[in-house]
Amino acid sequence: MDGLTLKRTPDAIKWIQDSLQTSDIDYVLKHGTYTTQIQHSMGTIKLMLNNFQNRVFCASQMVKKDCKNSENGQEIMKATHYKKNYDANPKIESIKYDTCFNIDLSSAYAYCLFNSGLITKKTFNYLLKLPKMERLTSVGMLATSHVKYFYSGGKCVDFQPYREPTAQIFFYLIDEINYLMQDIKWMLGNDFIFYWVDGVFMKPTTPKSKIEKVENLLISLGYKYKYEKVENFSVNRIQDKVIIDMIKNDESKRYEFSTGASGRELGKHIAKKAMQDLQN
Amino acid sequence: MAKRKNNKLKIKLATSGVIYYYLKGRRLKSAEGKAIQAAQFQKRSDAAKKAAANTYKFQGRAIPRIYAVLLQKLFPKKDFMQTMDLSKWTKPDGTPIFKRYSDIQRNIDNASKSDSDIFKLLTEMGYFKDKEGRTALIDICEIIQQKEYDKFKFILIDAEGDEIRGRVAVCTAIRDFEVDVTTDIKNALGMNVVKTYFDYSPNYDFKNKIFKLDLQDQDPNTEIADIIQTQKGELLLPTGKNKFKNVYITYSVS
Repeated sequence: MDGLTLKRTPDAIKWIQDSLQTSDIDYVLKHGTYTTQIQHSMGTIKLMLNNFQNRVFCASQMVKKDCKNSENGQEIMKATHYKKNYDANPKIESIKYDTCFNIDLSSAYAYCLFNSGLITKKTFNYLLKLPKMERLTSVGMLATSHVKYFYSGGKCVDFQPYREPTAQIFFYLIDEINYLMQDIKWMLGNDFIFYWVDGVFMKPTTPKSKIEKVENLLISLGYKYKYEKVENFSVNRIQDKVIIDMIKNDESKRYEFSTGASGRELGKHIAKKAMQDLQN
Repeated sequence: MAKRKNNKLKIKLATSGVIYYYLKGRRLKSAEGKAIQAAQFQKRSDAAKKAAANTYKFQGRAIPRIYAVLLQKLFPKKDFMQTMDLSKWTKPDGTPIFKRYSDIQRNIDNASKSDSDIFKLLTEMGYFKDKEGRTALIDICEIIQQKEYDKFKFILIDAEGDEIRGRVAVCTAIRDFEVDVTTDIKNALGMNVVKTYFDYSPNYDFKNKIFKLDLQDQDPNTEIADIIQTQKGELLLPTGKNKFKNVYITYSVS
C-alpha cells in the first residue's frame, strides 16, 4: 500500500487503519484540511477530499518562495498577528433595509501581498488569473497546518500539531485587511453596519462624501474594489451574537459572529482599577 | 419630615405659550428665570467644551477612552500632549505618527506584544476576546498540549452523544468528526473544491480543571444534505442553532 492516492472518506481511512492494525504495523496519520496521509514503514497512502488543479500548487509555491525571499516576509514571520476579520457597529441592535451599500475589495489578499512587497509582479499577475476560490486556496496554503497522530499497536498514543513557518504571513494579510476595514469603519461612523473579511456594509443613507472618502483611501493604498447588489438586509443582535441575513447578488447569505461584548462589559469592571493604576 | 426643596431651575410651558420659571419651589420673574437658564446653559457648555478639549481625538472625533489611556503610556513626552488630535501628532521629521485611524490600533497592538502591563490591561478589558478569530482543531491541539493543561480532564461529547475522555482520544475524535462532516458536505455538494471551516467553542473550566467540547448532533433528523439545500454556506438548523452543539461550521465551494 505505497504511493496510493484515494478519495478521503471515513470508510477508506478506517479500512486502512484496520488493515495496518491487523498487520501489526505502526503508523503516523497526518490530518490536514484537504488531505489525510497515512505514513507507515512501507510507504505513504494519500487520501484527498478535493482535487486541485496543478496551478493552485504552482501559485502556492510561487507565493511561499517570494514571501520567504522578501525582507518584509522574514520580519513578518518573526512576529505574531491577530486573526480577527469581522466587526459590527455596536450601536446597531436590530435593523432592516430593502437594500444597502456593500463595497467589496477585489482580490484583497493578492493585492495586500503585492502592496506589502511580499510577492513579485509575476506572482501577483499569476494569482490574479486564477478563479477566486483557487486564488484563496493558493494564498491560504501559506498557513497550511496539520496534526500528526502517532499510532502504535493500533492505538493512537500521541499527537503533534504543525504549522507552516509562513503561517504568520497569512495572518498578517488578515490583520492588514482588518486594519483597513477598521479605517473604513471609522470613516463611516454611524453609517457603518458591519464588515466581514474584505466586504463592508453601510446604511443606504450613507452620505456621498463619506463613500468618496472610503474610495479615496482604497485607491491611495492600491486596492481595487467593487459595489455589490444587496437586498433584504437585516441585522439582529442576541446578546453577544450578531446575525446578519441578506440576499447578495441574488444569493441568500447569512453571517453570524460573536462581538465579545459581554466579555468587554465584565472586563470594564475589572479594568477600572487597572486603569487607575496605569494612570497613576 | 419637611420636603426638600429642589435647587434645579424648573421650566414649565403653559398651554397659552407662556414660560414659567421655578426655583426652590418659588416662581421667578421671567427675566430672572431667563438669566438663570442662560447661566446654566453657559456652565454646561463650558464643561462640555472642557471635557472635549481633554478628549483624545482623531481628525476631530473622539477615540475610545481605553486607546487614549494607553496612548498616554506609550507617548509620555509632554510635547505630544500639546494637541489632543492624534492626526496632528508628528515624528521629529514632521511625518504623522498616526496617518490612518488604524495606526492607533496598530500602535496599541504592537505595544501589547512587548509590554506585559499593556497586555494584562487589554486582556482584562476583553480586547483580545474579539481578536481570537477561529478556534480550529490545530488551535485546540496546541492549547491542550501546553503545560498548564497537564492536570486537566479532557471530555468530548461526540455527535451521537457518547462521552470520550482523555487528551489524545479527544483530539482523535475531533479529527474523525471533521472527516465525517467534510465528507457529508462534499457528497451533498458534489463540487470539485469544498473548503470547510470548523470554529470550535470548547469550555475551559479552570476552577475544576475540565476541558469540555460538546459536538452532539442537535437534530439527528435533519441531515447535513438537507441543510446544504438552503445554500447559506453554514451548517445551521432551521432554528438557527448549530447542527453540532459547540462548533460553528461554514463551507465554501468553487
